[in-house]
Amino acid sequence: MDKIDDLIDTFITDIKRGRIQGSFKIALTTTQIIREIIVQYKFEQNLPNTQNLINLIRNAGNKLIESLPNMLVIGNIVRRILFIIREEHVNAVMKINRKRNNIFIEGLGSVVLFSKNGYESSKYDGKFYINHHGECCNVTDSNIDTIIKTIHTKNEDTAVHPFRGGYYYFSNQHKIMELSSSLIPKLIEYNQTEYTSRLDSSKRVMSPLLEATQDDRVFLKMVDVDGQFYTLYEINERFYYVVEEHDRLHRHFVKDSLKWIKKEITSFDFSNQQIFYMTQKQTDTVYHEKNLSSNFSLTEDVKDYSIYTNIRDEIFHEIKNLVDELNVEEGDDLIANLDQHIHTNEIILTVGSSNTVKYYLEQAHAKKIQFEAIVAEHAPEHDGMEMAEHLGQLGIPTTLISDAAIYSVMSRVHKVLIGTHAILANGGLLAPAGTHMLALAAKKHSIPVVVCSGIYKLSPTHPTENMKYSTLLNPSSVLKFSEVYHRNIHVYNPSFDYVPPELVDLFITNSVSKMGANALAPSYLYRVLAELYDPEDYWLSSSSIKKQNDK
Amino acid sequence: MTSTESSSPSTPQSSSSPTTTPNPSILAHLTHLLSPPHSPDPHDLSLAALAINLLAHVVETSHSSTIMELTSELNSATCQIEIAVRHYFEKNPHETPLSLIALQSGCELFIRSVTRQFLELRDFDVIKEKMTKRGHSLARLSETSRKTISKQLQRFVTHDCSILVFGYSRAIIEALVLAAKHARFQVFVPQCYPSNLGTKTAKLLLEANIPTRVITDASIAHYMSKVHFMLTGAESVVENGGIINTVGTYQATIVAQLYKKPVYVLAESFKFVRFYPLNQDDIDSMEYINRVDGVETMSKNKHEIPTPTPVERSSGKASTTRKGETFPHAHSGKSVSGDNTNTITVDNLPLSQPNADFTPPQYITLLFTDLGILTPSGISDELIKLYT
Repeated sequence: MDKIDDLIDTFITDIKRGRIQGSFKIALTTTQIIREIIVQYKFEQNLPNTQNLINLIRNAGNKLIESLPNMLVIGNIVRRILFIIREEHVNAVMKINRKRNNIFIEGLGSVVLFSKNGYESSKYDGKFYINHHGECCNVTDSNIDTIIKTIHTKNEDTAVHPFRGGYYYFSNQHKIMELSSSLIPKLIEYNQTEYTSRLDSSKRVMSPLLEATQDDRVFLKMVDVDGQFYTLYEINERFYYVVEEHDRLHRHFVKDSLKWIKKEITSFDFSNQQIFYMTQKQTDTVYHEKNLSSNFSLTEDVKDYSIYTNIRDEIFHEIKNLVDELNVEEGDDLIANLDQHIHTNEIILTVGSSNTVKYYLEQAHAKKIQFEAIVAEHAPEHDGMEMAEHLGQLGIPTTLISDAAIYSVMSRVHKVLIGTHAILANGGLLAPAGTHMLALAAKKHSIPVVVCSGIYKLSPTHPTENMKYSTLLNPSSVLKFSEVYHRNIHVYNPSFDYVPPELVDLFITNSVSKMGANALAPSYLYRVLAELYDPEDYWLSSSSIKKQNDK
Repeated sequence: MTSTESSSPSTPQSSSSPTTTPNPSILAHLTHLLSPPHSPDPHDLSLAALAINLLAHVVETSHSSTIMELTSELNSATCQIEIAVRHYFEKNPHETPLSLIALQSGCELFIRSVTRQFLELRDFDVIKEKMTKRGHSLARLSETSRKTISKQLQRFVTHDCSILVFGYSRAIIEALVLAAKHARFQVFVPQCYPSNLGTKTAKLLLEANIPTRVITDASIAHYMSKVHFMLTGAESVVENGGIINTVGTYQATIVAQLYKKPVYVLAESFKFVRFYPLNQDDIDSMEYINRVDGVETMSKNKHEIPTPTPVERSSGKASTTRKGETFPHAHSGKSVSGDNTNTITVDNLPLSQPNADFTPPQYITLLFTDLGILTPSGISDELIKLYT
């Protein structure tokens, strides 16, 4: 944890000293810090304990937000990652519940679900129950209670199932009889439809052999008390047992089931057969094992992984997607409908230098759309000059104007394209100082104001009366200290402006994957918020209310 | 089933005829719920909670044996409830609520959320019992919703801010009392003549040591430049994000919009109703009949706030312009001369004082609900989620 605290402190000082600038870099570093927290966190085996992780991340997030209240993007990233963790947690728990609490007893085409604590499921249209003699009887309303009683009186080791794990494919709906080759395709088909749909497209159930070639011979499919699937294949008169690399193996199960197979399946002569088993990765190499009658030994490669530890991998996978999304300029989402927004011979006004707007106009030019740009210089930073130079070098006819001239050129402009520092939950903006005036001028002339930004800048905070969102930057860019003659002159250089949602007409973002569209109206943002953030995370800290009033 | 008689999708279900006698068991239970000690103050009455309680009672005393039958019984009970409520308030006019649309929202909420929950159970009696229990807990939901809403408002109330509070809403009072613990602010409360709900609010806020000032309704525009934002409650929240509230809310929000002051509405989610009014006539507001006791607190200083002139209600016929109205309405369209259909007068002059008005969504900045802080455009989404 010390390392995390150090990282956080360094991060805060870096931002305050201006070493890290811009929302993108800040977002990226925040992601790295949170990722580090997850790396160091110990997930308990077999038990979802994400609540502690969520609390850890919230605390770290609080610390960051309280030191840097203007950088709304930090809060956004923390909330995004919390959303990811909550989602993955739910998925993992669902998988576990399905595999652990229920055991399946199945006949062809129907399922009986019994939970360890008794009959809970309503889906008891399943027809078969296997008793310990291997005989099958039909399950109906009347005998289900006796069946459950029988199951429960078995000893603890076997948990519920009489055969110590496993269910069996039945031919002729009763006992395992000879599996004729005509039945094999049916079983394969059944496996593909029934299992994958029920198990949430968890591809690990499907063995690679089955996926690759559909006429492989499934000899038997078994599941143990943990819901772990084993498939026994007969290929070229050899039997193969395929397991997933990370899946759990019960030694007992493998032993007992094979004994049972040998005993029951009299149609095959197993005496000189050998069972091979291999992991999904190693389908080419086969581990030769001793034959059926003797003890099985497992290779070291098949480790005893729990299903649950994969949540960490899932979370990292999603975080990687998030980082890809932060790189607005590298995806296709932002520029998806570009030709619908920028037309030929349009005059586009922008202010200062926003990376997203730069990229957008670059791409428009690359698509051979002929347009003109007017860039306001954005005093006192004068980054408009840099933007104008860049656009000019690309070959876009550009005009550079001072901020005071914005109102007078507005009548000749077709649209205003701006970037922003943050987007607030009501559709308002936190944009570089001067943007509010620009938006008002545009409103007066009825010119559409289009905001170009990554969706990671959307924050679930609403603007409040006293919101201290604007820091004061170095006043010497407005008036140098040496030029100040009187003590009565105060020089202010605010960094940001609040632009109310009525002045904004459209948001162009990289939200295609989440929302199906990249152009959003300000009134639609509540939907995007629901897709990105969990309402439980909206208020990360309650102490900030007091702070806001004590300042 | 009388529910099929609703004339259009946008009007609330109106009763089939004004002279239908209310269902005796519903009426009896209603009287029981409305008499003390259940609800000492009629304006504390939550119509939606009342409707939910009544429907839970219907489920309890129902003799049906299938879900289908029960659902149809509940649907017809919805109409019966409206008739019974109107009947009750006709007998007790001084307790008239603002409008009966909240009844509809409560009934719809019960029917959809409660009846769909227990469909997998097999035993019908168990289902009925669970439904009744759920109905009663749903009715108590109003208290927990208010806590969530209060918490959400805290960020918006800061030091030295001035607030204009319109109407009487328990949610607002709770929220401001909580806010007073961490911030210093002052409140202006329009009086809300003639119902004097504003004075009621002011009294409660003063008890919590919040600096409050009652202002006259006519001076709202005068004070609007001095306040930072406007707070109001809602009787119902309609589908487009607009609200139905005490008369005068609409006026105040228009002034607020002119002065670019945010208007925040505090409303619990059970007030959401699938209703789309287009203008003031669509909301079917009742006429306000004077409450005598509300006047007392102001009569001490007759110069500051004039006592409302008592209004007479002569025994006229019910207005025939509106289908199913049992309350007399002085409609602006009706002729004044000698028709005797305008039955409310002041000093023998025809008087119209509706109880409620409809505020369109463009005048509202944010709605604080237990489902979150929503913009008016987000309401229809939440409504759909609530009702399916």
